[in-house]
Amino acid sequence: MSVNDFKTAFHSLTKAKGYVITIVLTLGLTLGALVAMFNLNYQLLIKPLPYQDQERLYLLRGDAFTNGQRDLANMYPYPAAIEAYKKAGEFFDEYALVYFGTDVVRSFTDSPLVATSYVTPEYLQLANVSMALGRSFNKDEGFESQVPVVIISYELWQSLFNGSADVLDKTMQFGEVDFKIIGVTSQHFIEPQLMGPGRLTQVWLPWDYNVIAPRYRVWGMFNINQYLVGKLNPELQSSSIEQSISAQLNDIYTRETAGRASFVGTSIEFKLVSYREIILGDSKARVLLLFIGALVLVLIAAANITNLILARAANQQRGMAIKAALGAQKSHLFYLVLAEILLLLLPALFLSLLITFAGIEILKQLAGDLLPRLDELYISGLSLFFAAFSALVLALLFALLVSGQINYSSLNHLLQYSGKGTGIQISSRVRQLLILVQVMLTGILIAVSLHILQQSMDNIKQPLGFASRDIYQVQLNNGTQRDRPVSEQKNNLTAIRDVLLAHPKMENVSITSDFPITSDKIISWFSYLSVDPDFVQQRQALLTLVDENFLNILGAHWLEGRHFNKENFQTESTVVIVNETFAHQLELDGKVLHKRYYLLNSDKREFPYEIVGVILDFNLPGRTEIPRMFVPQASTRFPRLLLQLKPHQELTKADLNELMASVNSQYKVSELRSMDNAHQLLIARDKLSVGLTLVLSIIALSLASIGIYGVLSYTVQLRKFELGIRMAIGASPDKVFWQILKDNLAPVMVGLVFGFIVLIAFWLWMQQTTFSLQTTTLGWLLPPVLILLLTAVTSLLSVWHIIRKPANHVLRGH
Amino acid sequence: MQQLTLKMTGITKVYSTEDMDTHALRGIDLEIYKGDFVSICGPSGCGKSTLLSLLGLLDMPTSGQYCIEEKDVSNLSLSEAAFIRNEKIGFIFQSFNLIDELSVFDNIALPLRYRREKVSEKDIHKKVMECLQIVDMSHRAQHKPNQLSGGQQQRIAIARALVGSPALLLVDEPTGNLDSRNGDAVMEMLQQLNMNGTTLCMVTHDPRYADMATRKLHLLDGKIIDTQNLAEVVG
Repeated sequence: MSVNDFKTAFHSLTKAKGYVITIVLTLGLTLGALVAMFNLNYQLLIKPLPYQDQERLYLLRGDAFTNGQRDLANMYPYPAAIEAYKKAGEFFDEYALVYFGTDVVRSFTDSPLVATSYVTPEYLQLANVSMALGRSFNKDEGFESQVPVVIISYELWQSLFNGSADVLDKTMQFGEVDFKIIGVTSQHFIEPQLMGPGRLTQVWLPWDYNVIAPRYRVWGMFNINQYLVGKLNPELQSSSIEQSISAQLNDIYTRETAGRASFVGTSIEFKLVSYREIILGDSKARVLLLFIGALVLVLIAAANITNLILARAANQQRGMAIKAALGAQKSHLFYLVLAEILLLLLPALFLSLLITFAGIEILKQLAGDLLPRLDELYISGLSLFFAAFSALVLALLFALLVSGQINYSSLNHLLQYSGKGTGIQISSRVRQLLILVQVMLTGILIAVSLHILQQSMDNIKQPLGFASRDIYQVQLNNGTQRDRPVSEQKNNLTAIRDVLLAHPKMENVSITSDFPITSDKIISWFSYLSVDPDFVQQRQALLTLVDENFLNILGAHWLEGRHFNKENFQTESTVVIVNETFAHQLELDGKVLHKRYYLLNSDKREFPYEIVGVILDFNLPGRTEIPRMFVPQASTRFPRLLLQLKPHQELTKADLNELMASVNSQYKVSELRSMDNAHQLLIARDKLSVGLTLVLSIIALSLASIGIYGVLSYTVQLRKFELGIRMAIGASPDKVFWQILKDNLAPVMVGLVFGFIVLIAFWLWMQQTTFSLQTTTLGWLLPPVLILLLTAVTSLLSVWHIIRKPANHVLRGH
Repeated sequence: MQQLTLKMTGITKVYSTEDMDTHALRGIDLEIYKGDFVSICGPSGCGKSTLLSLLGLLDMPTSGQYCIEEKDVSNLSLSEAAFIRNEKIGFIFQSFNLIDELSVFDNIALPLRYRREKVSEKDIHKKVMECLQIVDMSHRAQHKPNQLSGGQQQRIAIARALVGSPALLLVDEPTGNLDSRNGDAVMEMLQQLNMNGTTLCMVTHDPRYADMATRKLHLLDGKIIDTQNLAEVVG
């Protein structure tokens, strides 16, 4: 390959601007998407975590079992965590405790809610923390030291303190304690996201100040979000450590819960899970799917480009024939083709890198809650190499494919017949295969996109099964009140409700433990109803503690029975309301009114609860309705309120804090969200899916249009003279069009069939994963209809310039 | 009295490009009667092929009038032109122009399949076999064109031109790609067809074959400069 080849190729390309733009855009966009997904996959699946000895970092998690069946996942008693911490030196080189929670900053009037982590000093050291200001925790601020200091994140420093340089002199109040700010983490600190993507700590506090109430720090109560983490001793096997620690802690657990019937047959199993595994979570399938999707786009683009390059080669046959006549070998023609393709791929490569960069930024903005480690994402050297390598491979493949189609010996015939009506018949099998591949890939991509689109649209349009206008969900932080007797806490909540009810803006108020629309970050509790007191025949349901106003505010629809009354709530009567789904689980015919069941985890579990009402299911969008039960009781562990304001009224966090302070100043609003807003958050992912799938479908259809048009115009180009002959002997323009369409439909139909088979296989594979995708008739039918329509339109376009002119123009090559 | 098959009056054809206009034909007046065998001769670039294209409605004149069997076909739409070609004109090309992917039978049957009034398969079969018999190629009906020699391909092309019983056969250098033996054979066949009543109009470079026609037109620079009625000469 010589410089002259590039000069010739450049000169030739300057006369084919449309061709150049099409190829550069097509390849640039799709290669950019592929490189972005490669980068993401490498980042998540292959690249080591950015911590020293990252392969040795582990977290101890526990699951509760009853008679060999797992009851509670990822929960264990608080004392077990402490015991494990004390023994950790036997298997960890470095170790720490951590509890993940949230709290309100009481020193600000609007009580901002912050994500907190309560840690022993080693936790941040294990994560190689770097500081922007101040220092990290030291040994003196460790376990059982009770030193009130905090470290805040860089982002919190900017948002809450405006990045002021004197932040280290300031304090933050949590509960009744003022904590001195001793450090600000660096902007570049990568916190290990052990609680899932997007959950980033804003305030680190010492472990001693964790908000687990004293009555939950016993062997009989199971807590979540508390962990022992550490750097595993490299000489020990994790399985043996798991067995040893499980045995030791279970001994203590059994001893401490002896004599209590509900703990008979229960045990805790401890497992060491690597940081990598926890941080990756279930993202592996997601990112691989994204990579496959991008790869499919590239394949479609490659088929497109092959079509276009072949069509161009067909146009350039005469020039090649002259070169061959002057002594050019087949290799010379190959290098000429390669030079032209390389010149096209250079700008495409540049564009792809821009797209990659943009794709990374978009991912960081939109997918922070869905995918882990996005804050570490950048264009790596490996990604650059992958981009260049892919471009080079594609260039070689294109050049080989095109030059392989040129019949070198037949080039001479072109000149022999002086261009009077002869043409080279290049393999129709390749043409058919290109159309087939194009159609198959496009059909698959559009079908999957349409199914996702339709599912997302259904979720967006689905009405909530309850009222949402003027209703607000209020999460409370009860500060030091959590350590007070339960009865006192309940009285406080009732008093707060009464104060709020008296407010002129308020329509109704309810005390509850849960909201019908919850984010993943809010804890929901499950419990059991059983016909027998030993809970052999138990059925699980989401337990919500409510007062007599809750279901009225929501406008719940009743199948039968009644709501709780005031007395039920005040006396915590042994009555329960269930939803339709749970009713059918309890009894096949759903007739459960006035029947009695024992409630697990109740203070009155020896007394059966009477079902006094059955309501219709809530039907949250995109979620299968779960079994629910409601019990009249005030929740003190996670106190929440449901407010119904009068129309067009508003109340702020500060307003509510002021009102609650009249009862007890410890009660603050940690989160205030309208039900409509919660609904929008619920369907936010669906809205994103709609946008993404629409874009993807449009891109796929556009690429398919270009590709199918490319191969059809190439096919028509080859058949030009044949079509001229047909016109000469009397074929009318519409007959020529129908001939072309009929010939094109054969590989299109085969491509659709293959695409359908692949889709079925893909759908079957999805059943094995955690993904669910409802298929719809429209999702199956629309892609082939679109593609058939596309084929008809592109067939017409490709043959238009022939059939709209007299036959002689074609025969004489005008 | 002889029946007028076609008549051209003042026909011109100009090919326009960005740089210049090329006057391929300048005021052609021509009458061809039923049963005529007309040859058109002239140097390269004189307009012979252009004239033949206009005669066969493969292209439209820039100006002038052209009538086939008293029907004005000067400004037909593409569909109407195709219809007239299919019904009334048969073509024989220099390079045969058979479609490689179709068998001999299907190549010959093609014009019948383009008829506006549907022709039954039975009738198609009958007509195709008749034409194959005329050109003595019945034994090759299922062969592909690239399995035949040049002379055989040209005979198939003749059969295809005849299958629709056209009013006019247009022949463009039928022997140009054939050796002399095959060329003679093809010309003999054309002469026989003419003697059986087929009207022929043939472009040729070869003076021997040009003299086989009953009328000879000489073209130069897009004009007819000489017309020889060879039948009268021979007579």
